[in-house]
Amino acid sequence: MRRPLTLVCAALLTIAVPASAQTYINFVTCPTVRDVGPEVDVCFYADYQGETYDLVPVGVIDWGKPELRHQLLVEGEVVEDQTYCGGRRFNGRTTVLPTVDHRCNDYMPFNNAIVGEQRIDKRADHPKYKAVFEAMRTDPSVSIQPAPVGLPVASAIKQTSDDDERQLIVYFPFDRDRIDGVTAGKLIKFVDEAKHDSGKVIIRSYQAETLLDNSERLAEKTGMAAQRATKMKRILVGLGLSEDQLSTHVEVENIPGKGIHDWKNRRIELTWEASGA
Amino acid sequence: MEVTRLGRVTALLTGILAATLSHVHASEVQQPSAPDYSTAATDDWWSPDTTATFPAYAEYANTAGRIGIINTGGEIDTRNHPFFAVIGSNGRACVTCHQPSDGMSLSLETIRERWAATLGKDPLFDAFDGADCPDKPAGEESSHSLLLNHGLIRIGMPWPPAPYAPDPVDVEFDIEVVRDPTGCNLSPTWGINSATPTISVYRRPRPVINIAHMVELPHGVGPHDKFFYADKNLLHTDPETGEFVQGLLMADARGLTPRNQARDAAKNHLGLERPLSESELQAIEQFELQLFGAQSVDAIGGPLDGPGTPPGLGPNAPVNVPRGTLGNNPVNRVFGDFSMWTDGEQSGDEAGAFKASVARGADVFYRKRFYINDVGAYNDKGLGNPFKRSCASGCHNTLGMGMDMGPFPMDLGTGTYPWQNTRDDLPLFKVTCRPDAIPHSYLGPVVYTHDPGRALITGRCRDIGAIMTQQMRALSARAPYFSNGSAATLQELVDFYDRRFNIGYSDQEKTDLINFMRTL
Repeated sequence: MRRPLTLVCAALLTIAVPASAQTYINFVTCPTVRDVGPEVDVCFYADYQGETYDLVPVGVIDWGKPELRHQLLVEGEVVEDQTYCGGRRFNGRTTVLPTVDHRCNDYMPFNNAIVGEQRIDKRADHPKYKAVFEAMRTDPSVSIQPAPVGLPVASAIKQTSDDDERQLIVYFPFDRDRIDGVTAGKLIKFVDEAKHDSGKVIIRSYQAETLLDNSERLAEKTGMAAQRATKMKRILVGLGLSEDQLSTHVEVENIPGKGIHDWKNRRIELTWEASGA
Repeated sequence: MEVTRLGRVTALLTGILAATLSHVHASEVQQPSAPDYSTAATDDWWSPDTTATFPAYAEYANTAGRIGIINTGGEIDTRNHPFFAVIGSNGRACVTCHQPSDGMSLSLETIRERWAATLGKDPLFDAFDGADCPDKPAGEESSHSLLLNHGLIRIGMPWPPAPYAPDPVDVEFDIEVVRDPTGCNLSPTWGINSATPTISVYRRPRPVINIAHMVELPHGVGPHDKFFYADKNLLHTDPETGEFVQGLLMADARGLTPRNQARDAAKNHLGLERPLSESELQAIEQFELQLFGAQSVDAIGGPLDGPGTPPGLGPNAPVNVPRGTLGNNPVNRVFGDFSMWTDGEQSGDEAGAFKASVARGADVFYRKRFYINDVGAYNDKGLGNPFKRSCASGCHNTLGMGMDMGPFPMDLGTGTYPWQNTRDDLPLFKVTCRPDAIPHSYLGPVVYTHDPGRALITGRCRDIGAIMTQQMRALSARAPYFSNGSAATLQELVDFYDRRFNIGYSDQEKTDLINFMRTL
């Protein structure tokens, strides 16, 4: 069961916010891999309640890419008018469930009907590196020197906006403590700034359950929030913070699922309380 | 850019000059100033404690042509040098298993020649790790079957795993010896039930050239100069300096730095009871970081270095190629541009046809995509399963070297059921994971393997069978391939991948790929 909700601006502020129907999806599925052309990577989709969904959420999160031989937990909010892989797109997260499930092994061969996009535009006449290819003709060693131009990447990493320089929110896959690459970069920056200050960095770690559309509740295992906090503490110390600077708070109970972005409850909030603040 | 190009030319000239002035091996013209190789000149074997100068540049013959080894530090006197001197109890030195003629590794051909020349008396065949098990009868070929047939050295790993990182190891699995053809894993003295429980696995010596590339942290792919790509844990740190390190040196990534690796090897392969001294460690590290090598001449294609040759070939290339740089994009390809050889067939001669084949092989390596699937500790690191890439844009993406820029041992299946080449001569282990452990991502909680690999270090089920990818240089000098020597030739290596990933290479593509790889 999908969850169509209408969010209304409750504060009745002076800015009028139009009501919009939003569709939330929360389900576990076997991904099907679709070949979308000889020169591009595969994509993944699933059919669910009469709709087809692209199983890679909008944005770049490097821990949720679907895997055959595993079921996938899908949590998100459908993005209207965006499709890929023959399916509707969504904002949210996916988690590869750890148990091996050999039933999840469906391939859809390339059929010319759905053609994928190049992650990197490889056209030799692309204006950004046409000159490089020209240079290679007279000096082949250019081909083994560092790239002199930035490569034209089709889809840049989207930064989330719910953090500022003194607060960082880190989201996690279901029942895992793995962070993503974008967050890792943010942590480096966060620590670089905080380690020169004697102020505290507070780690607040949470774990949560997910309410699926079929009313089933998936609860994270006991101790998950503590495990995340321990890992985060190790990363922060490894990047240069002193243990004395860190204060850790762990919420041991699962935050109940509501079926609306439950993935956002699987998080760590990092707050840097600067000494001069 | 200008400085870098100038540097390449300078180094090229240096290399040529060095080749002209210093010792060139037996098959080459002897220079008047050539050092005395009297104890090592009858063949390419470099014996420990040889009184000789290790030259700034030397070439050594192999079946595909010649390999060139550049020592950027200039020639060194090897007397009492800890890489060349017998410092342990078994008569070996580092050079025993890291021979210049073999790309500083050890080819099966060399091992067999050494057996024949010494009737098995060479310290290489020391029973502790040069035999299938130390308790095998001395002097019999059958006691050394894995070394003589596949170039494998016995590695005794403590069971349960000993911590190599500061944290204790939480072992997530139990291990059972299903088959023990060497008798070592069930030996009451040497096996898993002995007083010092040990699991014996059998691995190839890795090449000690281009180490400067192997220890370089990746550039331009932040945050992965601090974080593992695979699991976004922080990279390991050098216990001596506290700096982040790559860990590419050993098959199971246990020796994080040249110094770590040297300590491990001195203890476990040289029979050295004492710790290596600081001066010994410095000498070994310095020597290893200044060694570069690649095939220099192809028997058919001719010289691989110099004008008109692909810039990624020849021994000067590893000296000059930027280190720790991603080479999987349209501008930087792993081994550079081969277009100058594309039309080689128009020359009408064998060399031209060979060069055209190499150029086609490079193109297959760079461009031909296939499904990379069910690779433990690889597809599960966020790439998806399957992941559709070419050789170069998948696992062999480091500029100039061809190892993985996001290094992490992975289970390709070279030693794990059901993918491995059938090997009745290796031990077979049944690894069973605890119910609460995250299992091997594609084989589940029970895995049959000839080598648990990285899991014998971390204790993690997800690391079962995981072996670190290898640089692709000097392939012609150091057959057989894969950590367990299961590919006797480059043909067998390509055939394994073709079968493993259902690539569907044509015979011509296979030939071209092999020709390409033999020039590296």
